[in-house]
Amino acid sequence: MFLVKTRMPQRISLWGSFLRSLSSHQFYQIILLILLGIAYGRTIAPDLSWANEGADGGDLIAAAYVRGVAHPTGYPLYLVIARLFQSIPVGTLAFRTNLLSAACAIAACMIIFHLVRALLGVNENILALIAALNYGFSPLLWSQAVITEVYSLQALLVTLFLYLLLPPRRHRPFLSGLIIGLAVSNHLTALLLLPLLLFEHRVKVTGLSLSKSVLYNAAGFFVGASLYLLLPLWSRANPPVNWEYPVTWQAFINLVSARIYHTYFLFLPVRVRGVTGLITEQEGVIGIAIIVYALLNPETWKKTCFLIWIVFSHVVFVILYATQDAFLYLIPAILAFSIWYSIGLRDLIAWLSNLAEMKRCPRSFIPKISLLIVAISLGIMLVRAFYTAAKVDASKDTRAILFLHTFEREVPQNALVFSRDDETTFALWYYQFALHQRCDVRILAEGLLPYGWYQNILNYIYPELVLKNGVSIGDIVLANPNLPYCFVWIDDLDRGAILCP
Amino acid sequence: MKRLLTALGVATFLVFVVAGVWASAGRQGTVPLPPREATVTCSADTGVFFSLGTTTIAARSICTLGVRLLRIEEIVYPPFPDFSYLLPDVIKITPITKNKLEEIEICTPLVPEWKSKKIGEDIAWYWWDVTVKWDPNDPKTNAWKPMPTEIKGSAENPPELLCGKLVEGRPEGFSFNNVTPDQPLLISLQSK
Repeated sequence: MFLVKTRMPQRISLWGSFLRSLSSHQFYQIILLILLGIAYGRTIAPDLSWANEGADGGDLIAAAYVRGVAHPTGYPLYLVIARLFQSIPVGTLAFRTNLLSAACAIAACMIIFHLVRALLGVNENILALIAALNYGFSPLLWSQAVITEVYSLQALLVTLFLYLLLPPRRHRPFLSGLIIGLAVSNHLTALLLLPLLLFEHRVKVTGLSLSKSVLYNAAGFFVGASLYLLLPLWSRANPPVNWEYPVTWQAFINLVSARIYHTYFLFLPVRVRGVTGLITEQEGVIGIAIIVYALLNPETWKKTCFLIWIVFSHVVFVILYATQDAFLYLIPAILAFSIWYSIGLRDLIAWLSNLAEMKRCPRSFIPKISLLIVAISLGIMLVRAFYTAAKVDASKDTRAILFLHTFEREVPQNALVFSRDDETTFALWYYQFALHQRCDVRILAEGLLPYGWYQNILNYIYPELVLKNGVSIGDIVLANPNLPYCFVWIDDLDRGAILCP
Repeated sequence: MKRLLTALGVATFLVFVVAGVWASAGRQGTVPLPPREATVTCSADTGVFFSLGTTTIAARSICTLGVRLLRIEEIVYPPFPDFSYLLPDVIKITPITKNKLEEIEICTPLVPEWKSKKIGEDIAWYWWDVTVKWDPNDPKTNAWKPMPTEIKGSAENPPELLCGKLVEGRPEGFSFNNVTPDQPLLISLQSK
């Protein structure tokens, strides 16, 4: 008791003096950090996960671990940073890679906080906090912050670029080009940001001519994008994850341009409604009303026209790129909606305050209106966060690990294992190439068998495997008659299935 | 006030109009999907021989056939009593044009362990007889019927294949006349 009595005031005083030493915006940033830390910390996947369209996780983790080349476009920046996170001595290899996503998402929200202050005024800390939380708690970003994927890093780079884009930041065309180049070396959709470089030149006071500015932009861009040159270097070491085997110029172009997916472009009119549905899901009905309220102000259009380009370009891309997980490319667009949300709130508070003044309400009533609106907004956001948490929670998704346990138990020694989909293929790559388990079996991705580069890789990772007479499953089974064979795939309940005839 | 009402109106409109579903052109993954279906044309003289998944299919006829691999989860029919599906796919063969099918042979690489089983009895190719009225609650109405199944090739003369064959009237009760676009032919490999 005595100890408690003597130490408590000291602690409180330490804590109090720490809080007092913080400036207002630092205090809000700490709140933001704590809230997002709790949200992501409780829902992050502790191991490999298939949750939230995270099937590619096994490929990215294994590629980073073996210094290989991930699926097109190769994601060199992501792999370099993921490799750094993998060396943190905590949890499983997959968990450490998942941490990268959480860290990037939190950093992106921190930058949004400053971005909104730059847009609305440095005293608008609460609105900045609301915008950052709105983005951090949006189902799309949250879903990607708790698994291994490239989209959180992309969100961070896009946010950083937008932050640098706005006054009062000085015009640094090389830096802006560099950030886009780095973002492109993470995900090609960052190319959609390029027109904004012209916007930057227009809105900032600069002593540079347009042509000089573009030259600096281009130099920065190529320095950032030059990370792609790491891919052929890594590929030469023959890692087991080595998509397209990009040691020739043609293979390199195929990889970086994602040629394997070019056929996926297709206009699906139903997606126009799908995209609207997704955006409504991110913001909720009240959120959408507040965003529309903001956009009905011509001043918002003028001040945030760069955000309109971001939304427009990404939405068009998502409608045209017909893959199942293309909606994840909307994450930068959701960032725009979060910023508009805070602008809408500000306008709403201003309108209600004016109304109160006109109705001759007591002066003390006006600040209460702001407080009420902010409190309601935060309340709604937190309630929605609880629902979102249940939806995106990857911490309890054990499907991938259960599949690997069953695989360990049921697949006979030295078997040929034909995997059919992303989930099973990449989980097995993670298991064998990164965790060095069941190195006796030969994992054969059925969909990649027709590709010459994949046959080359099979030749060097499984030199005893006979691949003559063709590369269909039947051919391989017939050419290796003494080896048992199995099929693995995802069943209708999204669980890993194994069948060994 | 007008601005607020417009914002609320647009938000309400969106909620009623939007589709919360996400559409994609089939499941397109990071790993390209291997072909699961094929359309083949054959002639009476040369027939046709092609591979899909683990199976090779030979047909002799004047025909255009649509062949599709169905995952066993997609099949509502349970396997033959006391048997289980041995491959992850069931083969669905649909005649597309007016056909004069004479023979269909379907083969898959032989696994050495299968040799210890009675070929054609404990392990066999099966076809689903559409003329039987199937009642999901009555196992006796299970319409999977064994096809004549044999091993082709040998260890000395590879490849060794496990093949099943359908010709008019063999097995008894089988007729190509019953194979129509509305009633495609389903074939599966099953074992005890």
